[in-house]
Amino acid sequence: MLKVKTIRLRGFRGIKTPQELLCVKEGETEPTSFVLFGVNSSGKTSFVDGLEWFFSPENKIQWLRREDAQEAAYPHNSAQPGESYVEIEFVEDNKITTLRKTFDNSKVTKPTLSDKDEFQKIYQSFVIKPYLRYLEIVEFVLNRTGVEKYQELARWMGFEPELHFQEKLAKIISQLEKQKQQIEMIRDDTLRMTEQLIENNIIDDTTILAYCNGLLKNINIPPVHSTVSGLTSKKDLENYLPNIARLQIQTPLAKNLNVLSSAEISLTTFSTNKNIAEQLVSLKKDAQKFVSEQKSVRDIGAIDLYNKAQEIIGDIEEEQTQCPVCGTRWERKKLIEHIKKELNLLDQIKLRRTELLEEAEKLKSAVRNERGVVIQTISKYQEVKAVIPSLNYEIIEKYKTILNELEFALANDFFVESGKLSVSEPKIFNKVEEERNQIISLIGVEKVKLEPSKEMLQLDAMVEKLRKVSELWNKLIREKEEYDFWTTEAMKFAEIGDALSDLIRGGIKNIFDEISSLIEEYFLILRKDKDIKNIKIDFNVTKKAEGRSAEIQLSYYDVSVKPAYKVLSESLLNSLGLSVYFACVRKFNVNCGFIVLDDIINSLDIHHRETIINLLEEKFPDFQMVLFTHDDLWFERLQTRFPHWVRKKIKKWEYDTGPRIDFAKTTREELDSMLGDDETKAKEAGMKFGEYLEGILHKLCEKLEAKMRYRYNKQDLPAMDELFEATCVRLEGILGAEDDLVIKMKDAWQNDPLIRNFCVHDRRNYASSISLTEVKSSYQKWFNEIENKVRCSICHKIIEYVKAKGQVHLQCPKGHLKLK
Amino acid sequence: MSDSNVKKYLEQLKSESKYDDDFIDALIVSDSENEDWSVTAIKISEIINKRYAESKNNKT
Repeated sequence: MLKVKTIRLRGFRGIKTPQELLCVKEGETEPTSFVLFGVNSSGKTSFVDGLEWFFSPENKIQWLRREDAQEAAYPHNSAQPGESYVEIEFVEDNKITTLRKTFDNSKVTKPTLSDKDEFQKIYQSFVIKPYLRYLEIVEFVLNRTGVEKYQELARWMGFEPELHFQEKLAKIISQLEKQKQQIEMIRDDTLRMTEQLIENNIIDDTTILAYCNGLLKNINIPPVHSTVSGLTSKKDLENYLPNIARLQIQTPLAKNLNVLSSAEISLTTFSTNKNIAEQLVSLKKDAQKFVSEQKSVRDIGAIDLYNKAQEIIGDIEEEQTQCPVCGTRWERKKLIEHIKKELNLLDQIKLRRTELLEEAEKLKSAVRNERGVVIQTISKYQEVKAVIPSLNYEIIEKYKTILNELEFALANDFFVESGKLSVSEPKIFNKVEEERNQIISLIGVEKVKLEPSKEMLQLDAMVEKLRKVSELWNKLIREKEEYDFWTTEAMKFAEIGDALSDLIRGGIKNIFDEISSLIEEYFLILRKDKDIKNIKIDFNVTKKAEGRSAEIQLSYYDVSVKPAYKVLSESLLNSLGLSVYFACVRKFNVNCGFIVLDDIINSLDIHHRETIINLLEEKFPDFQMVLFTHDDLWFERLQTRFPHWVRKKIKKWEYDTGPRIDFAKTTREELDSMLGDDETKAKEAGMKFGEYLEGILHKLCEKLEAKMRYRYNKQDLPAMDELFEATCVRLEGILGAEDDLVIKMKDAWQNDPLIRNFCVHDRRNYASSISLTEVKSSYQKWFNEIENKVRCSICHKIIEYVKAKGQVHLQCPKGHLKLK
Repeated sequence: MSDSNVKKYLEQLKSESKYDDDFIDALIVSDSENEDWSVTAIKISEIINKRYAESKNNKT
């Protein structure tokens, strides 16, 4: 498995001068796990950012994805071009590979890779990214919608290509549906014109044929026969038309009459699309409601800022703090809730905005079609104008301009933000029809002026109507055919989409089922204290994103809960998120043997932080951890439990250089180094030992279930004397007064001069003079004669009291060290 | 980083001979060439329009 030997950074984020993290212990050659401790703002995050950038095939650092940061924020402010890089030395099967990613100031999104093929191999060694940052966990379990969770799981479990293809299919199917709707809309316009002409709301072959035969009868022509196929009847009618036209007398008067009748019939079939007016009113109302009910839609842009706020909130320690986005002051916990609430609200606004834009898109298509019809109508007006020069049709021209404006307004998203969507003349729809009716009347008057015979007039009108109905019938049949054809083909494509989605879903379901049991196994290591079981990742049943949305469900005290976050506290959610991440690493990262963990314990109390150590120890002994933390207590625990890890700490951070790193020492190592021959360090060492002793005794009392005086006030902490007494009494009760450990513990408590002083005085106020020899003797005695007996040398845990089947045991949790 | 199963699934569908070959082939190309959805959508539309035109020609 691939391991990390050395990490080097220069000129990156807060690191100016070259920095190196060597994951190999002194005197050894194989890489081992590594932990770096540093207080907030000491430069830890720069290392993690550098690692994220290095391991990201897209060369991205997620939390810097905001527009005002992004890649420009990656290099150190005063780094020269070419000076910003992250270099890692990997080891696999005794082969060392050194790779460097160098920031390119001229192409900030495309860094220079020292060896593209080797980088590709590194990327291919993992499925789930080999690094995890605190807020990603909470965000994953709590803040994401089912669809977002599915997307994150796809990244974590390696089915991103399938997810992208599912999304691609959904978009293609939706696009085909839109094209089908366009064809349907055009067909509906023709239907509307036909209804207008034949004055019948039922338009089919039978009604059209009946209308035509009625006209033919009026001019004494035999009817067209009804056939099963409307197409044959329509062709029969078309065959009739030239002969019927020949009946018209070809004189200048007749020609003028013909122009007027033709225009008259065309205009009769034209009417404005009333749906446009209705849809416009509805869209305007929806847009205004959206703007008045929601916060400013411009705040959608704050989604990224809130996401960023979520990421940095882990570093905030103050109880009262200001929301980094809106500036309101909150208690820390309430601030997290506030940010989640704001994000949820903004996501809803974003969704509603998308719905409004889709509504606008439909209206835009209708407007475009209407404009086509209007242009055709205007051409008819122009024909009439050739016969009636005084004809005026300014309203329909204005209508065309308004449709143009409307189409432009709908193409612009501004109306969603302002709620303003208007046409300059709302009554234009009715006015267009008024003008059309006036022109039809004018044509009627003009036709009378031409003084044609009654028969001529009738014949002319009949012929034009027959021509028009034949044209519309033809169009209708063609458009219906096209629509039916598209419907069938789109359905064929959708069938493939469904079948493919089923296969993808089946494959992913198998992954979910396999990983779910591992998640539960890990969760039970992290949280034995709650009755949580049957953890399962499953698809959400949703209409919009069927098969592309997932959620975690579980049984909480025998009640089935989905989504899990409904009942879980922040710390339980954190444990759940960690379980999902670690289960994915174990299952999918078979070639990548390291994990970078950045402050993953933030919402867990100290007891549950210990369970993460248990998880790492029990389930990931073959993995190399590269861990960053700002928590000194957890760091202390890691040092105690994993003494073989490389441990370092950031002593300070300076703008001009970056962090200054030194080896981190355990208390014992620190005491050893303090107590060389510097007598001035005696008191400092004594205080340090006292602090350490107090912590160990606390732990022993807890693990041995030693009896202590009940405290009404939590601030009333037990003194060292009381802790020693409780420990000794308990040990004596279990092991007997003659036991060597009991004798040594009592001796330390009652006879060791340094410890006696701690027991008599409050350690914090202890100021009497102590010698170097005294401190040295006390702490060596403690470690060599007592702590070595109560702490297991294999699992590094302290002994605990266990009662099982009536038997009392005093042993480490793994049973390597047994005192009874 | 893992290989996609999409190609495998599409080939499985193709072997079932139940689905439209042209559409499946277009999707296979879309997957292998990592086409944007809009490019594939245009290709599918073109297939449908071509077929419609052919069906019209056959009728006349």
